[in-house]
Amino acid sequence: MSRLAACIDLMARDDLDVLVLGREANARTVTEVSRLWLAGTRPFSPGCVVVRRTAAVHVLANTDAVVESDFPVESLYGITWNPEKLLAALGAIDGLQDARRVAVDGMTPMMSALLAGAMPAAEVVDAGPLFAELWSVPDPEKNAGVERAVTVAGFGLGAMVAALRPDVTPRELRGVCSAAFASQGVTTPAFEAVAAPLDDSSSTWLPPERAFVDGEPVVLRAGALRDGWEASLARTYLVGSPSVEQPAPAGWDELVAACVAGATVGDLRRRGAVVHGAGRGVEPWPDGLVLAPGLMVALEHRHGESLRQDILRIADRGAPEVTTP
Amino acid sequence: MTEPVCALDLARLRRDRVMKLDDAMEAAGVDTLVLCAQQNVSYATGTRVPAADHVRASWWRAVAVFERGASWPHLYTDFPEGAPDDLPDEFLHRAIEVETAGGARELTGRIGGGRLAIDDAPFPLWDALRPREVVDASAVLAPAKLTKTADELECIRQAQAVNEQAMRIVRPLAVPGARATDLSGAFLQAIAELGATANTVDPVFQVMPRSVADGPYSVTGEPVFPIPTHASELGTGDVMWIDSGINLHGYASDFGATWIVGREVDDVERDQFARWHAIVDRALHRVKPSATAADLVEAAGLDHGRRPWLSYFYLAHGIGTDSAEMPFVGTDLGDAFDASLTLQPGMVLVFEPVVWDDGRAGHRSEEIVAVSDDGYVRLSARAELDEGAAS
Repeated sequence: MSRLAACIDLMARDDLDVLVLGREANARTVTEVSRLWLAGTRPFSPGCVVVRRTAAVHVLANTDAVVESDFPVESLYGITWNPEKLLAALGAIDGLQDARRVAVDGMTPMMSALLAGAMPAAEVVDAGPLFAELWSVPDPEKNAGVERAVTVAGFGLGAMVAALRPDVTPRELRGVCSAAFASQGVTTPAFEAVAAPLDDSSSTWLPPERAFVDGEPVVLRAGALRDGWEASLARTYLVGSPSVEQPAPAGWDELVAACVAGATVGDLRRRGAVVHGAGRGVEPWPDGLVLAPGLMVALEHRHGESLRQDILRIADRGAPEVTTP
Repeated sequence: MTEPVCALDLARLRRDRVMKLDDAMEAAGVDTLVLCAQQNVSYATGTRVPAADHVRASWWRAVAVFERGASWPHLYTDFPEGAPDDLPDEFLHRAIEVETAGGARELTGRIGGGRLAIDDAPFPLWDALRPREVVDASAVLAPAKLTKTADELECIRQAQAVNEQAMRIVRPLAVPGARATDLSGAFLQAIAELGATANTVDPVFQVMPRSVADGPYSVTGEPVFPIPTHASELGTGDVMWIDSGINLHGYASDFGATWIVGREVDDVERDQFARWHAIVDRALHRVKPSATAADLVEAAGLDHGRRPWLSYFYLAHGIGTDSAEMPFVGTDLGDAFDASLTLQPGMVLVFEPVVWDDGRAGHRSEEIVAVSDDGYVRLSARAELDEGAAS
């Protein structure tokens, strides 16, 4: 279910007439949409429009196959390469032309001119805070979505572990993870799987492409994007036949125990953790964010030759639930 | 098999790109170029970042700032191990979080005065730059990217070869009872093993309806393509349209084919392919410097009375560090635009016409060429008739 109603409430509170959204994660927050996945950043363009007055969502798509079955097809506007046609399509959206305050999730000079043409009276502001606020509220549906992504990420990691042997290469393990995800019906990653030697010189995200050596510590990272929800995990293994999981890094248990309602993200970061929210992607949390029951936390820590990353759900009281296997 | 365009020299490729950017900035009167879109940062610096979905990719994005006349762009990245060795240390910096107001202020404090061009900005950065005169970076990037050096063409050719090889591995798996998403998995596994830098688009294995009316609602009334691949089982006689893109050394590739599942192709499918191929060959016959996009559109002609491509796409598009870039041929930019676009050596054209016989689906494949001094060279294998179960 979308958070459209909550979004409209925030738009009313912040006196926003229209949202123009280029990010797929933001579009998915306001409507059930599942368009073709593209890797990496995408330049800002009006892929989805929300109008407060009509409480309507309009989506750039050529078909209703990518939206919910009850989505009105009149609210679809089609692909075009012609700025004039895009302008006309936006102009046809009820409530757009007289908008006074518009929030957007990115900008380019070309799009700025286009939007000025479509909404000549509008002040343009940042939609980022609105979505950050929407996502900071614990949400059982988000949690269910993230946990379903956890299942897939864990399955992919398991396949990588089974394949991790001396002389195997990172690229082979990347491929194993992709195939494992796809066997679960998921073909979109949160990131391409990583297999990295855990030494002082190597990055744990962009490792050298060399075969693994018997006995060396290797961190495996797997992340899946399932129905628009993201989850990831990372574990460390000593390469062998079979490879053996390493204990969590020193300080890990204390970090997990510190993930309690009322603690701040800054508290965790001061202890050396990498912390962000888990949802429709990385939710970059400020240090001051207070952990609330039901929030999904991506927690990562490294010490010596062990790195671990899990997804935790903050509990009402006491220790969090670790959702990752 | 295609022939190498040259012996690939990535260091030379990077130097040549910086020169092209500098020339384009000179011509456009731009003093400072700020790049936040990852494909553009890759174009300017040759740097790698971990391949990720858009939210994470935005969060940990690398940023490039190029001051006209400088020997290199400045690169701000959390992944210095992804920066090429030939980028001097004084140009390599820790990442600036341009998604935050603080990061936006920090970056704006580091860029020179004068005329600024930016490609894509998180809103805080856009806000921080508002007091300045800011133009769209396409004024610089479009001319720079429009024609490719030999090294760039070779990257595209090699990327396409990986894409094609992976699809040769997948083809025998496309049998009745197989799930389309398992084909995606096999493809993604194959490209990783073959050394792709990254995958660029969720691979499309789409079973086409026989008639548009049998398929999902279509805004234009034409066949809808592409839609995300589903975990549904293939059946005998399925007409499957394939579209995949992989990245090698920062350059995209684009594979397109039509497969018939579980049986040999029949006469209708053979005829559809023959018509598709004739359209491509007619257009290719006109590919040479000084021909226009309108010439190619005219040469492609009509198929059963209609322009033989999807009106919401194109007869052909360019490719480079982006999966689709200029030149665009036959888009809804219109005839005057096509007439104004003149082919030059080094332009790349991905031809993807569509032949459709409502009631019997149709054929869509893709072929890629580069414009040469007197014609074209192939960057993709020639499309071949998929024999179906016979292959």
